[in-house]
Amino acid sequence: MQNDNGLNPLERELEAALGTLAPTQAGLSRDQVMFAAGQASIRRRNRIWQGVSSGLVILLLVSIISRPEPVTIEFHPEVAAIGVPGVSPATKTVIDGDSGQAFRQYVRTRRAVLERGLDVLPASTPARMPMGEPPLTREDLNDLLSST
Amino acid sequence: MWYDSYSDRLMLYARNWLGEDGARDAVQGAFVRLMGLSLAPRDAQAWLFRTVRNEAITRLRRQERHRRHGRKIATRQICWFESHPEDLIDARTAHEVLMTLPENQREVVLLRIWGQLSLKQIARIVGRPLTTVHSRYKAALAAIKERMQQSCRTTTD
Repeated sequence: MQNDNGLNPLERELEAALGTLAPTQAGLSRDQVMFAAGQASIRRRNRIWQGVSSGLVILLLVSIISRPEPVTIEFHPEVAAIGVPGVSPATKTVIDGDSGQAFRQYVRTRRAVLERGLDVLPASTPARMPMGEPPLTREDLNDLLSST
Repeated sequence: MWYDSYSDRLMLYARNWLGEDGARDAVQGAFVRLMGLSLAPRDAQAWLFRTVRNEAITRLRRQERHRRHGRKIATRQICWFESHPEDLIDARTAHEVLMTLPENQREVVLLRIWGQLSLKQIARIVGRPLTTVHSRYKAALAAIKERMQQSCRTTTD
């Protein structure tokens, strides 16, 4: 007759007899195991931080090494000639054309205002008022301000 | 819970390869690893035995390397079983008989009888087919029986 493990009764008997023998006590202290587990968990946490900080250091080094060359802006006299001091050639190409004309006009006006004051400004045309009312002039505004 | 249930059996299993101190370190290492897991293994018993096995084999290889480099390693061996007068088999004789078995047979016997694992679980732990494990177990039992009878005969003579 054989059991599940394919053993005959004699082998089964021997197995049972051997099973009565108790293994010698491990001699391990539960506290020791808990302490070692705690230490291991701290080590694991430290390893995570070490990994993160080494990654950041590597990133920093790579960014320092692969930093693009600094761009030097040179002074171009031809730009200065049109009254736009300190403007790079790249800007010069942008200010060509109609918008360039307006920009140059603005710069000239600005310089004139700085040198001679607000009086050099051209007389402004008053804004058109709705519903056919006469437009407000500077004098009207002064009157309004003095009356209050 | 697992510690109380398995520490002695795991120690016995680890003693198959290592001395007392090495076996203790291997078992402790297995419990530390178990506590470090975020999810408990499905079959904790088999997991513990497999981890102790891996740990013991790693330690054994390290010891072999040290031996090759001429360093001496103290391997303290104590009797594997507690001795009680009411036992059917003498503890020391059982230890001696087990030591005469080939290592792979002894391992299966330790896992089956004292580890209380099924042959299927043992096959997974040792990484061998179930039929191989079964034949090793049968051969080991036969050898134990024969050597026990031999030992009885020499003590009575």
